[in-house]
Amino acid sequence: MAAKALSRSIDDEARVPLVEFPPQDMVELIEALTPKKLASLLDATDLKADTQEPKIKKLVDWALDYGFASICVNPVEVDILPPLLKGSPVKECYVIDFPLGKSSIESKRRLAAETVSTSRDLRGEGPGKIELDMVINVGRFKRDPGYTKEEIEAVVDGADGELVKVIVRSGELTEEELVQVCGVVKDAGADFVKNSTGMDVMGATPEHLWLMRQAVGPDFGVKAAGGISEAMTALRLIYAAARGPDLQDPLKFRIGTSAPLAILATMDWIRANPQAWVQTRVIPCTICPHGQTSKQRREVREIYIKQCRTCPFRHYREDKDF
Amino acid sequence: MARGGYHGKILRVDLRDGRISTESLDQNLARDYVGGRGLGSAILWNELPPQTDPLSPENMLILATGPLNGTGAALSSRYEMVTKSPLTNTILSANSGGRFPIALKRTGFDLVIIEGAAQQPCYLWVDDEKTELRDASGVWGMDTHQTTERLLEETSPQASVACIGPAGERGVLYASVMNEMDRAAGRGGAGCVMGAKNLKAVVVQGTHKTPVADPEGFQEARKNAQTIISEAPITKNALKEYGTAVLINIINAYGALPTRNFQEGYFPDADSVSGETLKELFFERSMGCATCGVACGRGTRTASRSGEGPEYETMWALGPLCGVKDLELITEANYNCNELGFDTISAGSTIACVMELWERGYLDQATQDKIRDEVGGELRFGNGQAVLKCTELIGRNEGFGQMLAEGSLRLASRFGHPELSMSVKGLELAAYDPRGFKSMGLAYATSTRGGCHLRAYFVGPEALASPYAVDRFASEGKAALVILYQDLSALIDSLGLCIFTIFALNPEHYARLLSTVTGEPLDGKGILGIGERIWNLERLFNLREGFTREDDTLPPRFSQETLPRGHSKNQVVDLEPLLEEYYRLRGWDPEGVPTGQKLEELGLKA
Repeated sequence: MAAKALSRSIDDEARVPLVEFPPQDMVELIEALTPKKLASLLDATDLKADTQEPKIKKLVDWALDYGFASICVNPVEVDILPPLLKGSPVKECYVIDFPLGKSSIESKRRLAAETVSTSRDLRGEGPGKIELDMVINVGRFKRDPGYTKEEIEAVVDGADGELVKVIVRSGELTEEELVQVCGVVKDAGADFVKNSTGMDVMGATPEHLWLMRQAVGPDFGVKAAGGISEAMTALRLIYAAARGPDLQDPLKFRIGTSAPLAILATMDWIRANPQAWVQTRVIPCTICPHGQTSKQRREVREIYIKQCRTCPFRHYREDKDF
Repeated sequence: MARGGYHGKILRVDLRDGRISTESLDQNLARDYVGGRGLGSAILWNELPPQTDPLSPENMLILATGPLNGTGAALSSRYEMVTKSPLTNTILSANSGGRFPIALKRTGFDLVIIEGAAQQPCYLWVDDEKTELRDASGVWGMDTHQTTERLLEETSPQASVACIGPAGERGVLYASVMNEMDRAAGRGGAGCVMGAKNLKAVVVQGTHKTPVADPEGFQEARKNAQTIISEAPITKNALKEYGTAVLINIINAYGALPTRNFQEGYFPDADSVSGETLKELFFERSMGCATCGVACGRGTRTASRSGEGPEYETMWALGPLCGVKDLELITEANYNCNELGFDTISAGSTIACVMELWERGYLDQATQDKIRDEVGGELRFGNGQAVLKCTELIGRNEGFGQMLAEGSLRLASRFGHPELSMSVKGLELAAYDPRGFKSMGLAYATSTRGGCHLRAYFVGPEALASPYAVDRFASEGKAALVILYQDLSALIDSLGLCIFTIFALNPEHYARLLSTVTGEPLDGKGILGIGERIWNLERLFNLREGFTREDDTLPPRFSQETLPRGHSKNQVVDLEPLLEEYYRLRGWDPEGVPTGQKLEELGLKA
């Protein structure tokens, strides 16, 4: 099964979802990814409604100690975060129109511009220290991809040259739409495509991340987010979207997580005996998007379930309870 | 840089003549075996003659601290009672937490070795360097709570007491040693060994600080470990909120909560005996060991009594395993076990075994009549009052309790059905059905103290997604990972840390903690190498006592009977392929004997 998964193509409708990972490839990945390298790919995130300053300070401490790529918070925290990170290489990351993406194009532009301007003023280190993770209006995209291009362009404009990642809420899209929206993101001048807010219908799955990487190619950024709280999940996503060393670069791949320390701690656990850990099996359906349909709209869910019915791993759903 | 982590002294007490002496700690032995379980086992291996009767004066009882006790490291107040088990005849190290481990370390002794047997009941009082054997006839016969209170009055209110109850005095083979009244070095009968020595208690207090070789480096390692523990999901939330009994509903949902003596894996009334219900009905306060922010202990109160617990294994053993769904009765039976001083798992499992013998018609009429007379009814599944009564009989080793006090294997064998004892090497299994968690089958079968879940708690990956979720029914890679868990657990038990740190920390964290305390460089690989040495030494001990490959097995039920319902339905265990792979990966021969090459590699001699 693994061999078929490896030789799969984006156009092959009968392809097997990416739920198995060749052990030797995974061992090589684990050995190549030092905890320090892995830390450099993490956006340490706290987007809860009740987040307060002490938690942000804690994230900053961790980021400085471990060398995370950025700290990702709501834009209101722009009055706290820049001074805390001043003088460090850690970037600020603010979400724009999070989590639904339902504001107007102009308000997205204004929020992006205001956030960037405030951050630059407070940090005083010029451009290149800020990132924006914007959410598209998924409903409008389904009807009018041009609208999506326009709203991304507006945020890119407001960002004034800062890095822009675009959250497409992949679980609410068919796989065809996911590939299509990746093209729109790239055309609109953003820097990254990101699968999920972590609050929508589905977190990060290797299959979706693989599709996204195939759609945007190796010269564009891909960010995984949603439900990533330990190293093996992170490794599977890296396998899917950043297998080569060139892609394991903070400008090409990121992981958004509210549990960065757990990811690093479990990475060293796995590194204690990579050969044994990669031999253990994961239940395929628990990491397959086709098996996580409970919150999807009917028209998307039916497509996923149809794929699930013909999946060679179907017996897991029939024979086993998990 | 000075070697930290140790005071460098051992207290040796010979109860035959009351002689108390101080010895220097062999630093090479400490380097090779760290402390706690490892160091205690190494001394037992070196000094205990083969085939020693566990209840004879020749058996040794070793109270062993680790190098992290008293350093302020998170979750670092655990110690080990090391001896030869009277229940299993294997090597035994029984772990307990609370205040006692740190108090013991603060006496300035790293280990206390007790030999011989006293003519009269006595207790050991260690107040820094001042040591004394005192008459215990005034507390002999008292329960663990009364004993603790009395001995604190006789010594110092700031002291800490580890004692036995009536169960230990009267030869219950799975009697425990209780500290701070309700904390148990529970499994395998260390309390029975203590009772056979006429030693009622060890009372300690002291002022010695554990030396740390690299204070700055240690503070960084300690802070780092503390942060990881406070952020890991299991130690941050689940254990803190509901205690270990949070597992009842989780394991039941997997269909692997052993029910009615492992005849089933699903208990329909699990929620009524869960950590959530305990919190709602009887919970008073969280209780933690010294240095622990998790505080998984539960201070509880029923209508008439109060105490600590029940913990998950206790709640299960006295509850679903016996088909009992009355949490108040379970809680009070747990109080009995603590106060009278015996292991709740072995007790519950032995009672469940009798229940099955009864229901299958394997008990003779005289035994049934005796049970009816003493227990007040039939000993069938679901009879909670009978379970409560049985705990009283066991604790006093009276009447039918004398049979129960022998453990399930001896009892079931007495009635011609040893296969109904759910034990390995005579130690009753814990609350995870190996048909639902395949690695636990291998972990139970190869555990060096018999059917223990804590020698390799692979429930972490198989049930709790820690460090991440794996397919609990698959066998690929599991033998190697059981080995990894066994080796690391041996090391954790030797450091003086709580096994729950395994939910958060990794081998590199343990290495940094140990190396900064001792001042000797060590990495994660080195840590696992020490764990492997300890594991192989324990194996050698058991081989020397006559255990063979035939003993690395499971009750036949697990390979012959499928689970009838729940989410592990139709599963059985296929142990042999896993066991063969395990021996091979361990570097043992097909009979489970470490090869000469492996022993040489580990610096061991058979």
